[in-house]
Amino acid sequence: MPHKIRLLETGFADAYFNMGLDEAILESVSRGDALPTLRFYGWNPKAISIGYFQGARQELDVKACSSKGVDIVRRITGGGAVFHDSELTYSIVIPETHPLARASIIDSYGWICSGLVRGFEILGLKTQFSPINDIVWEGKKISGNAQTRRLSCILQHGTVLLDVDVDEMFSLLLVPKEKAAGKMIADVKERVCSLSIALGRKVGFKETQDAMRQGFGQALDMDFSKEEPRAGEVERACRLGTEKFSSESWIYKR
Amino acid sequence: MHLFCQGKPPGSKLLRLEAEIDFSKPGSPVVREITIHGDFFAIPEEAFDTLESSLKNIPLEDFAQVFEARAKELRLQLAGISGEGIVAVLRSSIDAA
Repeated sequence: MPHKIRLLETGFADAYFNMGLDEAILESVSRGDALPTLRFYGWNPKAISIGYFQGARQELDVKACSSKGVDIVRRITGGGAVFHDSELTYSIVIPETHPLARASIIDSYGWICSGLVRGFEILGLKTQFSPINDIVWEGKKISGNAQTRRLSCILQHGTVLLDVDVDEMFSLLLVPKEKAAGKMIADVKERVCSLSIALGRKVGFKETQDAMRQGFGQALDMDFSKEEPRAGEVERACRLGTEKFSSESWIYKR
Repeated sequence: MHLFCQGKPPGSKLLRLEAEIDFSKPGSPVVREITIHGDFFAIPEEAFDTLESSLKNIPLEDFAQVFEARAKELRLQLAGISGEGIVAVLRSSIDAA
């Protein structure tokens, strides 16, 4: 029997609201106020999110971000720094007791990512899950994912790169010293990919959102109920965005 | 000795470490304190903060075992980080110094 899932397609918002809404959804699913939820969204303005355990100043050129109007936000999930520009982002929240949940981190990455892999297939791309948390096409990263478990729920969010400006990306992200030799920088850049590069055509946000929705539905046997976020979730997201995610104490926590 | 070092040991994500290492006593160097940054996963995240702040005055030769034992006590699920990986990065930096 298909799993009843709330579907939210919330469009574009700033980094602080986006991270606030993922956390607000986690809270409402945890309380039992909402069905397990799959959300698709985008970022405006551009932003870089860093993983919970990363140091903002170690990972980013903070001045360059500021001068280019790129927001910086720390996630509640681990993983690496992500430049959110031309991409589709998803988040999924399910109780740890739900049949779709998996006990181990690695298993649940693979399981949830199977929805994305099916979505890529619908778009005409053969991709593979690459543990711990990536999806690759011909050895190049096309999707990164990050997961946490709080309030007895799993929250996983991740990106599908629609297009990528590697020069802009690497003008904002600091490449680790051992990768600083020219050859290695080229290597790092060559390992990043996007749907547009892989498919040889421009791929839009909505087309990708539709494919990924179908992908999750087919691979994970989901039956969607399309809704809008509740007023209380939006209010909570705004408050988390203002009081937590945009605060210096959170962004520079590490 | 104050160390800033980073590395990606087998099975680990990129680990960026800042550590105070004491060589003043005979035997194993002692990790006086350490800060662990990186793109690894540790759930619950706040429990890792607790683990990290508890890692003080530990002989380097015991560090991996202590790290794993405390992670287990705190019921941490780890991916992309291990005590052995941290020690490998520290040793590599100490050897190069």
